[in-house]
Amino acid sequence: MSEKRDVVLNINGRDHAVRVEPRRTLADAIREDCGLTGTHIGCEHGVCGACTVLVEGAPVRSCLMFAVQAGGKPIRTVEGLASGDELSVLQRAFMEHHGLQCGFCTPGFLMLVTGVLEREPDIGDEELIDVLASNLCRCTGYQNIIKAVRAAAQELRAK
Amino acid sequence: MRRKLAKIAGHLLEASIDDIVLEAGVAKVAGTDRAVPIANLARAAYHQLHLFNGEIEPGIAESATYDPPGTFSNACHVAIVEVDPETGRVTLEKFLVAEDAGRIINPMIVDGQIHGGIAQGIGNALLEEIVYDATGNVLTTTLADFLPPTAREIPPIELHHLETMSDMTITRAKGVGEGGTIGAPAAVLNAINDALAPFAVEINEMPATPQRIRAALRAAEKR
Repeated sequence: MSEKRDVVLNINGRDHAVRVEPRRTLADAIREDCGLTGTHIGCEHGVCGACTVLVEGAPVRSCLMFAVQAGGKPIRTVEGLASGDELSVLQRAFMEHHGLQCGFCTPGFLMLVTGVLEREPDIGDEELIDVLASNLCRCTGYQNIIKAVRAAAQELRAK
Repeated sequence: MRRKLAKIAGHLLEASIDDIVLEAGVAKVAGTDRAVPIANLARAAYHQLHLFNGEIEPGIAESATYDPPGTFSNACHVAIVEVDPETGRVTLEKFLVAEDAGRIINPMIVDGQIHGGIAQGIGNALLEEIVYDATGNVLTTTLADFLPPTAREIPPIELHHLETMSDMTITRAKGVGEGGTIGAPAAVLNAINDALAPFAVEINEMPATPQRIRAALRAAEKR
């Protein structure tokens, strides 16, 4: 099983042809083979959510998916959120509401919420807290993350 | 910083450093109209070092640190909890804190520090525990066993600030952050014990897990 496979990872609209062992996690492939280090690796066992990316529009723990499983599927990472110098509505809301302190969990929260708000733009405040409870943050006590996400959801709905 | 700018200005204006005054964005020779904008001094400090015969170190950044005598913030924490005696589950309804960190320099950061500290304290009070087996092996080695709180466990936190200026620091600010962590566990445990008072049960061990609360209630029923 250590024989390397050729895989094309389509990340943020760009193809990355990589050669990886089947056991290589998507998180490691994104960071090490594609050089996109915005995706953070926290617990490496699917609990903390720091490594969350979008695969075919759905939030995925990239430490629990193998790179070979994601071949050919559209993947989005935190590097793809801003357009040029312009932050996404959610990114800006995190900044304005101080939704981060050390920033380690932030890429995971951004991708989690981006995926959820695209799929369920009318999600209620309580359901949003259930969604946010899937990722861990050790600094903020979640108060300002919740504020930022609610503000972004509202702004996106108004658009 | 002032001294360094004066030194650079002295070179550029061919004057003694003691005759240079800084005012209104320029450095000038006292009592004359010879002046140079401070922006030019900065440019010279970075890009025109050849003018100074090696007497000026590059750049104009200055930094200083000092270690003030101990400062600490004061806070009062109140937790409102619901305890289900059937399951031992504790739900935090609301958390209120009034704290005094002296002068608040960046309110957003101060609030964030207190929120985060309280969340760690709540984790301490209800969830987080390093468990060992009888032979000393750690049983809680993953985040699936050692449970930091999530957005679901942390209730809305109501924050009130007092600003008593500290005499111990230059900025008159005090430390903030630890206060959240230190106050929260006591507030949560006191609230739980208040809720359990009708059962004559007191929990004095953290975290107050459902197992511990149920064990205490069972023991009380037997008495």
